[in-house]
Amino acid sequence: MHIPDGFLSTPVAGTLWAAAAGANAYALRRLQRELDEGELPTLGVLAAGVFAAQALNVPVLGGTSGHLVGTALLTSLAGPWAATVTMTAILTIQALVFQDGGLLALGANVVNMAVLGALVAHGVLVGVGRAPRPWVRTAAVFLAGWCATVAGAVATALELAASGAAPANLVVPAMGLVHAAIGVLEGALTVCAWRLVVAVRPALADSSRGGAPAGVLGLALAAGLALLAPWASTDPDGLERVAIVLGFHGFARTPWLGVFPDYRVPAVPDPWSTALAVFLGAVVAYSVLRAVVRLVAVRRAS
Amino acid sequence: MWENPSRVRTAQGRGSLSTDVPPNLPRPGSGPARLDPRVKLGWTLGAVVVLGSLPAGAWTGWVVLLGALVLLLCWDRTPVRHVVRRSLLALPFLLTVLPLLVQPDGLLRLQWILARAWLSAQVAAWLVATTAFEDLLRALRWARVPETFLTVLALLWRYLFLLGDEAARMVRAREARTRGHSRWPVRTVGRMAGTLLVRALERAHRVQLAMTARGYRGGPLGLPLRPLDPRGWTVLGAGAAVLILSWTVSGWSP
Repeated sequence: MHIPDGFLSTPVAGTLWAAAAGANAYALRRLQRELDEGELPTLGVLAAGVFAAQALNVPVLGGTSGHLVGTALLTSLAGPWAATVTMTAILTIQALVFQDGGLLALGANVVNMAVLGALVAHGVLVGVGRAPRPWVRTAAVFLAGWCATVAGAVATALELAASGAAPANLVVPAMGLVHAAIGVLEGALTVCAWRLVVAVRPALADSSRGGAPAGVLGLALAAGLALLAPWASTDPDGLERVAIVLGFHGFARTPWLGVFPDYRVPAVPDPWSTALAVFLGAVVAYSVLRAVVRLVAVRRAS
Repeated sequence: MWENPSRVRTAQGRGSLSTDVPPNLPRPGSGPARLDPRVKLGWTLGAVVVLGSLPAGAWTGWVVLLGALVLLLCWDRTPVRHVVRRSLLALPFLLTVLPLLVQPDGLLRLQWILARAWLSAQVAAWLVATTAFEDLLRALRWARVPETFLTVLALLWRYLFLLGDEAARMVRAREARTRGHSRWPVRTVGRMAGTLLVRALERAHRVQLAMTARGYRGGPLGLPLRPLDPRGWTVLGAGAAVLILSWTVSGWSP
């Protein structure tokens, strides 16, 4: 998902460079307060470990292979700020030395994979991963890896669309769907690596490093991407298109209970109606998940 | 000497370790290697920004930049196969912009994006091929990149190949135990990644103790560059003139 140079327009790339620089400046200040003198540079050694781990390939279907990215893994072990700086260092080396990603596009790659990935993963871990049950924490780590992958892919697609490099109504769903599948691999690899590390170093299992505000910011960013996505497509989805072409679209019946029918909030004009419905749906889904986790924790404790 | 020891493949060619370390040592005494790294970094970043700013279809400006790059490659006597190999780096990302073909002027826009991406990759590759990594860091320090981040980059570069070799040994051990048929490849690779991370954490702790014992208190890890002399500024200015020329003629059509 490393964007090469030439795909993003200069205003988009420049804006993302500024965002990446600002995020890293903040992360470095936070780390300088939290870590001992002399401890911060050794993030470079950790980054080397993650870089080497990225080179381990897993064979998947069709003769292709996938690999761990590591943002969610670093976030779960060291917090979002250490993950941001570490992944930024990795992406910088990849762009400078290996030409894996462009120099002008480096800001965008850092925002997508380091900043956004770390904050979204941290949001999931803070929101869901504090439960005492091990399987819940494991599921939270998997979800953090999946969410970080999909969030980065949707952000990449929106940036390409904003630069005019690809039509939004095609690239957003395409990248989102493909990376939803890739995110499963990322989540699985993250879980396997995380379980081994916390078995050897139990002190690293604390997922609250970085604080709740960073978690809220991560969830807000993820919700923000959900808000932007409806602007990307005005065409019907695949099933609806097939139904229109084959002539059975009229057989559909309106459900007897509709809270936000057809992803619209009644009395709110488009496209805000769709965006608000998506946002509220995400909030409801997250709240239900948190409630279930807490209910399980309370029942086990009693 | 620069055959990558970390490139390991099984008999079936699957589940391999894929670190391809480029030889990042410029040929001693070659013209571009003697150039100040700040000049080369400035040229590269300027070229990438100008390329990104050229309006779609500004082929005249693109040709000017191509001509400048060809002169630099000839000066460095870069083999053609290196140029071809670098050209393939952006290929996988092309899939994301193929949908442009369905639009009325999509083919022209796709051609422009490909041409820009290719030239940007070649310019960045020239910088790396002619500049040692330590000099790149010193140029970045001169450009006011935060010292802490540069130290993270320096340690990342220092230990990347060590841990890469560690990963290669783990892959060989896995292949020896499973004969290339790992029953649960995701679990196996995930645990290998976790093991690498644990070893990196332990090494990071030892590195921190060693640096602290030697008196490290957070300062720069390398010597700074001397101020850029008038000759360096002149050479930098010549490159800037080429970039301005490229931008100026971008509106001309042949």
